[in-house]
Amino acid sequence: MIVVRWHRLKYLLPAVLLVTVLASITQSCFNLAAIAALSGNIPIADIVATMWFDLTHFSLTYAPIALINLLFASILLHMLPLSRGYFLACLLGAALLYAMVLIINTLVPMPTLIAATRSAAGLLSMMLCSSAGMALYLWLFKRRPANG
Amino acid sequence: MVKVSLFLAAVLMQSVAMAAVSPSYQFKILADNLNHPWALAFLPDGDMLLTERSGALKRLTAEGSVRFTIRPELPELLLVSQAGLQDVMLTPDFDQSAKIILSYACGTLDANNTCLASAVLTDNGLTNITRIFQAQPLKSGAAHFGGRIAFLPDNSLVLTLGDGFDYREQAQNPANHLGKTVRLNSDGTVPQDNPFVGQKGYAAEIFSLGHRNVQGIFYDAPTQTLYSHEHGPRGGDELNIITPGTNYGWPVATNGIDYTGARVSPFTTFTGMQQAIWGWTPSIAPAGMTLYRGTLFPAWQGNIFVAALAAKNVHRLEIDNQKVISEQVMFTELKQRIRDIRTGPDGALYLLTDSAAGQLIKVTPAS
Repeated sequence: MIVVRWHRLKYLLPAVLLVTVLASITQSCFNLAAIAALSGNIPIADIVATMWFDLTHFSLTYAPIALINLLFASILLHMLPLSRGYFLACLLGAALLYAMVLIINTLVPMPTLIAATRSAAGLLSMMLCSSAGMALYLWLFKRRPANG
Repeated sequence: MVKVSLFLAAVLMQSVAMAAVSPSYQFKILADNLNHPWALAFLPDGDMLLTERSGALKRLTAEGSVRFTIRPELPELLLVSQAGLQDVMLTPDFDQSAKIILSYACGTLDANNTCLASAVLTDNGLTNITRIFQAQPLKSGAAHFGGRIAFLPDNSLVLTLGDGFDYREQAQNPANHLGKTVRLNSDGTVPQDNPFVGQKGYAAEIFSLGHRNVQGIFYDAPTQTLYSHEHGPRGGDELNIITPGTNYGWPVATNGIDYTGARVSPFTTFTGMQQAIWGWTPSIAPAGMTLYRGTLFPAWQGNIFVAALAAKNVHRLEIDNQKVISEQVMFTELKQRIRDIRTGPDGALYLLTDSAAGQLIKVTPAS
């Protein structure tokens, strides 16, 4: 039986926030790079405005994905009878995001929901964002007080 | 504040004025239980040809009775998600040749695009089905096929295409057909006066580029204008006047954003890219369209009617000098996704509703 220890949310939520912000910036970078390849240089003000727009709009879509991603990764991390190393945590975060992207794309009407994940480089970058989130989660978890 | 009030008052007065001139109308359901009907064409004898996305072609009488239902053996027809049988048009020489043109998605889920086939209409179905065009390159996924056809006065046809969703940047690549309209002769050959014929790096079939998913096109002979509309993503649906060789901007210049909320592009306009003459944000998901030149509704003469899937209505646009001067939302009482709208030879409007139990509805003046 899976036991959810709710106090771990205080370690998980900052990690979800980090993943959401990193993923949003990554998404912006891939979209902007694709447009720049067609339009030429994009003014810095437009780049900043696009990143801010995505942080305030795309992140609303991505935060629940990041939450589910890290929640299941952290549960698995605590279930596996292995040492809770950073490599395993990062791997779980990335692998579960990959699985989630595949599932999401089979459920939604369009071929690929998240534009950045249309390319292997984009998908890998988003997976690395999840890895960073899991690394933060584990770091926070290991720093917890002895009675925490 | 005064300016805002004056503007609102002007909008209100215009709406009231449009409502005052809008004739009353009535609906008559000619056919129902249609499986995602997609397009309608009128035969000289009063019958109609109707396509279903699921691959069926029906011949109906003017009253809606079914004369035949066939599943044409279209080469490599792909039936999944948005892919399927799409438009049907009579060729300009139909009276002599009995030839029709069908657009459809062709290939496999991993390698597909939009195809055109010609066929000869008989009393019982179709013969001589021949594929005359396949858009290139083949891509994966079953989204954004475009698929509407319009004939021009020189008997060439314009076929609308889509960007394949995952390949949106290709709409700016002049070497392929993704996100383009193409102009062909009715046998599939390329007219030698196409805008990019002979230019290195350009597909000779291209008529215009920079489109997302064009599912409405209409050539208005009196004004010699080719209108089309296209789906934006979240917002950014567009009505355009299509001219040869013009770039309509997608995905560089758009008012839409991704379904995830991410920006597709920082630009809503861009040098060298044509702006839409009208747009819809939030999206209405424009499907078919017609420009009314019938006689039953004199008040609607010259108006564009745009069928809307997501908005579940029809948008009537009053046009003056190739500009939209007013808009009225109509037929909301149907509460159905509208896939296509056509002007019949009798001057009535014909609607196709989009569902597994779709309907063919005739709109005439209220008696």
